[in-house]
Amino acid sequence: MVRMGKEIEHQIRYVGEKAFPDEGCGMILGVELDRVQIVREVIELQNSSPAHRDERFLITAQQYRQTEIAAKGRNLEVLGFFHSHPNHRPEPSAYDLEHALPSFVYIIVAVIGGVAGRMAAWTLSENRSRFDRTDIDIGS
Amino acid sequence: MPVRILLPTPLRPFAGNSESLLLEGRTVADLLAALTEEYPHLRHHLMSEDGQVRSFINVYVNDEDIRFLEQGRTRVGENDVVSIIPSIAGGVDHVGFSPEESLRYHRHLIMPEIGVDGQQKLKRARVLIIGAGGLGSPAGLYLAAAGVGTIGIVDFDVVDVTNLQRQIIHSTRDVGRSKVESAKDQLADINPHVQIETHDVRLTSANAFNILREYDIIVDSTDNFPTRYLVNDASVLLGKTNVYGSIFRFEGQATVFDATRGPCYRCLYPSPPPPGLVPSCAEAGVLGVLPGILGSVQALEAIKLIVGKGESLIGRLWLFDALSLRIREMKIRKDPNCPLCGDRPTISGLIDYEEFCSTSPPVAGTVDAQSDVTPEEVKRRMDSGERLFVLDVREPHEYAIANIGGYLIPLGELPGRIKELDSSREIIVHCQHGMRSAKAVEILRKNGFANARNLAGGIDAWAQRIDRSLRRY
Repeated sequence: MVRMGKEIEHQIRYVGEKAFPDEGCGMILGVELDRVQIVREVIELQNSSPAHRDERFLITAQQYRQTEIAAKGRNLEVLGFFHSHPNHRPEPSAYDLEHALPSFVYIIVAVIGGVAGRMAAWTLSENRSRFDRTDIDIGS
Repeated sequence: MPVRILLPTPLRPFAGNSESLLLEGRTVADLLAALTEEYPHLRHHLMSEDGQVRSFINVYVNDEDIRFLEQGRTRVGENDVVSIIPSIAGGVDHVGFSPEESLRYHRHLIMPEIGVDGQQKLKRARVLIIGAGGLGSPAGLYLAAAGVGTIGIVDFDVVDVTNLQRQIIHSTRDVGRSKVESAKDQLADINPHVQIETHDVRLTSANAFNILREYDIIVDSTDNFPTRYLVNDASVLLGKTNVYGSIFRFEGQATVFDATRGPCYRCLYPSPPPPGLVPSCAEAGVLGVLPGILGSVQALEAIKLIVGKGESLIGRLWLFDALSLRIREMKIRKDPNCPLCGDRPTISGLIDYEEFCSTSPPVAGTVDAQSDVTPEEVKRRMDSGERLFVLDVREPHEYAIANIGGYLIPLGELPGRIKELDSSREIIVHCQHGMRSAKAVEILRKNGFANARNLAGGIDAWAQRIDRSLRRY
C-alpha cells in the first residue's frame, strides 16, 4: 500500500504532462510505516535515456546517488520511482520487469494525449517473475 | 583485508538490512562473489541467469564506475569504498515484426506519420468493439487490417439474414452462427497476426467493468440506448476512451468521448429519449452502406488515437447526411454539472440502464398501459365471434412478410388518411413491436378516436404467443 497526499499525486501527473510526448520520471521519497509506504516528496528527474525518450526512461546511477544524498539530508528514504507512459496504459512491460529492483514501489501514470489519467503502483515479486499491483491511497 | 561495500536501499533487506558490509576480496569480482555467497538471495537481483552483472547494477570503486576501470578485474584495497548504485530504467517493449508483417504493413511503414513507431503502437494496442453489427463490422475489419494487436468483440446475438444487407463482416454461410465467432473467423482471415478475444455475452452492469478493463480503447458500435449509457459510464469510470458512432436511417454521428479531456455521452445527452420515440433499425430501416461509413470513421478515430496523430473528434460531434453527402460539425463541451464527469460527480457506479431508459418521462399525450390490449385478449375476442377492426401501421413490405389481416395505413400516412377510419368504432392498432402503434394511438386520440387501443408487443408478440406460423423478422 502506498499512501500520498493529493499534492503529491498532482505533482506526478504534472511531471508526466510536462514531459509528454516523452516519458517523464522521478524519485519517490518518504518513510515506511507498518508496511505502508508513505510518500512525503517526489523529485522530478531528467529522463536520461540516450534515445527514444517517448518509449524509454533512464535515471543514471549518478542521478540516483545525488538525489539519494539530498533525500538523506531531509531524513527521507528512497521508496521507489515514478514514470509516465505516453498514450499507453499504466502497466509495466517486460522491459520494466527486466530492469526492476526489489522493495521499490514503481508508480506509472498514463498520459493520454497530454493529459494524465490513471495511475498504478507496482512492486517486483520475490522471484522476479512478475509485478504485483499495490494499492494507492490518496489522502486529502 | 576486508573491503567496505555499500548497498543501495532495495538490496539491504537481502543482506540482513545492512547498509554497509565488510567483505574479503582483491578485485570487484571477488567481492561480488563473496557477497552473493554470504547472501544468496541477493544473487538473482545482482546478476542475470548467465552470471553477468545486470545492466542496471552499477559498481563504483570510490567515485569511479568500474566500466571505466577494469570491470570485474578492478583491484580494491582496504581504503577503498565499493558502492553498488542502481540505475532505474523502464519503458515499453519493442514489439518486433516478422518479414511477413513488414510486408503486410508496408504501406503504413513508409508513411512518416505512422512508420515503425506507429505500427508498433498499433501492435501493442488493445481495442474492444462492442457490437458485431452494422457499425462493428467495418470497424473490426479496418482495425484488424491495420494491425491492431488485440481486438475484443462483444455480441450475444446470432447472424440473421436481415443482417447481411449491412453487417459485412458476416456472410451468407454464417447465418445462424454466433456473431462473435463469425466475426472472429473473418478477422483472423484478414490478419492472422491479430489476437481476437470474443465475448459471447450481453454487456450488462454486472460484467461491463471486467470486460472493458482489459482494453485501451472502446469502440461503441451498439444499437440501443441502455447499452450506450452503460458503455459510457463504464468507460468514464475506468478511464477509457470511447469512440462513438451511431446511425439512424440516412444520418450518422460520430465523436470520441474521453472524460479526462472533454465531454462524455451524458454531457451530450443527459437523458435518454422517451421509450418508443426512437425506433430501432428493424422498425425504421437503415441504408446499408451508412453504418459502413460511420464504422469506418470509428476505426479511423481509434487508429489516430493509437498512433497519436491528427486531430481527434474529442469535443466534436461529426454529423453525416447520406442523402445530401453534407457533413456538419457541432462543438460539444463538457457539462460542469454532468453527474458522471462534471465538477461534482454523483455517479460512482453502474446502474440499471434498462430502468434508466424506460422511466424517462413519456412524451406528452402518450398512452398508458391501461389502453393497451394483449394479443391473448384480442384472440379471445376474435374466437368468440366478435368482429374487431384492426389497424396495421407498418410498412407494406412488412405486411408482405407477415400480417394478421389488419387494415394497412403506414404510420407516416396516418394523419392524411385518418378519414378512412370510423371514430365511433373501437380500433385495435398494431405495428411490429408496439411502439409505432403507440404513436398511432396518440394521433388517433388527438383526432377524436376515443376507442383506439394499442396491441402490446405488436405482431411480434402475436407471432410468438398466438400464431407461431407467422414469420418473425
